[in-house]
Amino acid sequence: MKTDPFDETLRKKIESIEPIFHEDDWQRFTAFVGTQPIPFWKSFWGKASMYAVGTTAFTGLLIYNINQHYDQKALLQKVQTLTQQIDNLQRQQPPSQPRQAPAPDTVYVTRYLPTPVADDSDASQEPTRNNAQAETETTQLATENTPQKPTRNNTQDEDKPTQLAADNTLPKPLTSPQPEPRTALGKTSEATNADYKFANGTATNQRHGQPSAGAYHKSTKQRTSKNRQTTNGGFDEPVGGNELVNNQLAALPPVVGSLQIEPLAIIGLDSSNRMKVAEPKIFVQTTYYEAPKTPKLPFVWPKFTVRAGIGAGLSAGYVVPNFTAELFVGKRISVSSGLRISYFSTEKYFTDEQFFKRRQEDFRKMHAPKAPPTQEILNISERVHLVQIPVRLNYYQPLRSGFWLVGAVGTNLDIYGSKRVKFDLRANRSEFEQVVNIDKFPIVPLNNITFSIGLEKRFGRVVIQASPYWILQTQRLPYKMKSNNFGSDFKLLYQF
Amino acid sequence: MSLFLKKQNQFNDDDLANIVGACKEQNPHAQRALFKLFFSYGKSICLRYSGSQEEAEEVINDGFLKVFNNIHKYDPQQPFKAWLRTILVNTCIDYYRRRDKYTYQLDIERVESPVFEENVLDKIAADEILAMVQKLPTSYRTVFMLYVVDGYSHREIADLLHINEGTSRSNFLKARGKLQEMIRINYPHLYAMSLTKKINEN
Repeated sequence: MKTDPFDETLRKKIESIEPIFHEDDWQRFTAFVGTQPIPFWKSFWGKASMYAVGTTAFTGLLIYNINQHYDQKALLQKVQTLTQQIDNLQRQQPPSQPRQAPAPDTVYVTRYLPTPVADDSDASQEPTRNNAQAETETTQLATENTPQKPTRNNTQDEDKPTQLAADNTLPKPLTSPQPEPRTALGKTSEATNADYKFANGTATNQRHGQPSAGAYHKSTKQRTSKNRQTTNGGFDEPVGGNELVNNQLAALPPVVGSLQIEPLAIIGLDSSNRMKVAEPKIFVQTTYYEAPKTPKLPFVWPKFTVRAGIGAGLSAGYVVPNFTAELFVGKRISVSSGLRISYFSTEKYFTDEQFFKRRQEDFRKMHAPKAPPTQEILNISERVHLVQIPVRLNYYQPLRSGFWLVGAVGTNLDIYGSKRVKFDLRANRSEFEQVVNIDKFPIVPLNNITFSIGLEKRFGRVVIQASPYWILQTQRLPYKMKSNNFGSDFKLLYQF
Repeated sequence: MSLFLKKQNQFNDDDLANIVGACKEQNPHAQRALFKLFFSYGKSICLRYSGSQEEAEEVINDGFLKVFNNIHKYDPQQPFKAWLRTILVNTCIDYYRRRDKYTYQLDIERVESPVFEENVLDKIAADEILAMVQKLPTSYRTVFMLYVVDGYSHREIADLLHINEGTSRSNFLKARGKLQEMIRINYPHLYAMSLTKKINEN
């Protein structure tokens, strides 16, 4: 693109303008910078507050975390112990223990099979003596006493008294008080088994050898036919059998579960031409004890004791103001932090030569142009202001009369330092004081260890502390020439 | 501390890297050295984009404050002057954007391109030319300076000022026309001399 001669000439002319720098320009610039609003977090107090808050929060969170860790550990251990205890209890108490299911021989007798009348009843006496010997003996006795009195269903017997009387088998209603379920059931079975063969084969205690057997069988047939009409399955119910079983089942607690009794199945004949019945299947639904699930623990904010307050320290004739925040992490242990402003006055030098000899630094160069090379410099003194974050680990030991012994160890972290240098200038036999303020100089944050031991008195929520301290300097710094520093802190705290 | 105190007397005008490095550490002495070193260059940039000396001072202070606050973003591999110029030009644009809008527009067809004797400008002092430039409306002046002195294209100017490219062209032509008009009004004798010279040549 062709450059326009007018533009080119104008560019050269304008670019040739070069304003000259004057000191006023820099002064104007610094004044301009000073008028710019500085955000709080960039200002000195903002930074200091942030550091203090940050350190306190960090320390608090760290300790809280450690505390939570140990709490969690303890809880887990407790849960483990409790689980073990539950397991042991479960082992000691088997699930069927609370209420045992009734014995099969008495429970599953719910159906019976009518058997053809046979005279070989004597032969059947032998196999009927089964394991439940004692019960059978009892029932046998009961049966012998009432050989011609087959127990019948009350409802059926009531309307047929005369017929039974003709058969010479006086019906005798079951009037005996209902005994313990197992025995009652056995007795009932025996009482009705004069001519009924019970499916389980254990209660088939027939007495066909009795003189009145034939007559009895007769009536039995009649009854059987009647019963067949009234029952759904075509089988007669034993006297009170269902009721008893139902009562018994109903009496069982829900913990044990319910019994499921299946109808018996005939699987063939045995050697004595008796029906063989399949082993009954009894399902006892048992409910085992289950340990309740551990509920989720809701998050609960820990109740920490917190203290905050102000105080002042006395050190080498200077008052050191401070404010403190304290967090109790145990009954007697606490962590404290805060902010304190310390003053240090370094050594005094009579002349700049003496300054150079001791510090190996050229005072005039350091503080030019306020320390001119032509004039004599006398009485040099420095005062250092340090902003520190004290971090302490405190231990409290109770004493008499509400007093507590406080021991602490920690450090004072240096976060900011400024310096004020004073010296006298001598010119033409007259002296005048010169002051140089250095707003900021390099600092080393961690350079000391602090030990303190003191007393505390508690007035409710208000606490007063007095604790002398000893600061051991771990690093020798230009602004901290002394290796040891002693002082005392006084604090007024409020406990939240 | 001795390290810190030694640093304040070590700055040499030729040692730009050292100054910039110290400025990154917010060393006030280094900042002063940098300000002093580039004040002339910066001020000349601000003057040609400003309407007055006072405005130029305000803009240069604002610009240098930005420089010191953002010096950590400066890449030492790049020339410092170019980085400074970019910051100062942008500061000028921001400054006037807050006050004026670059909405002056003139139809390109209607812009007259006056016949102007190029040697006339040689006879005018730089300060006087600058004074005339500063009298231009902000939008015209900015576009004219960006195009003529700082070498931006109209497309770049349009992007920079958030205006149309056509607007940039028209503002530029209008600025040039106005400047020539001002020279004619303020320096009529130069035209007379130029006209006489032409007649003599013919």
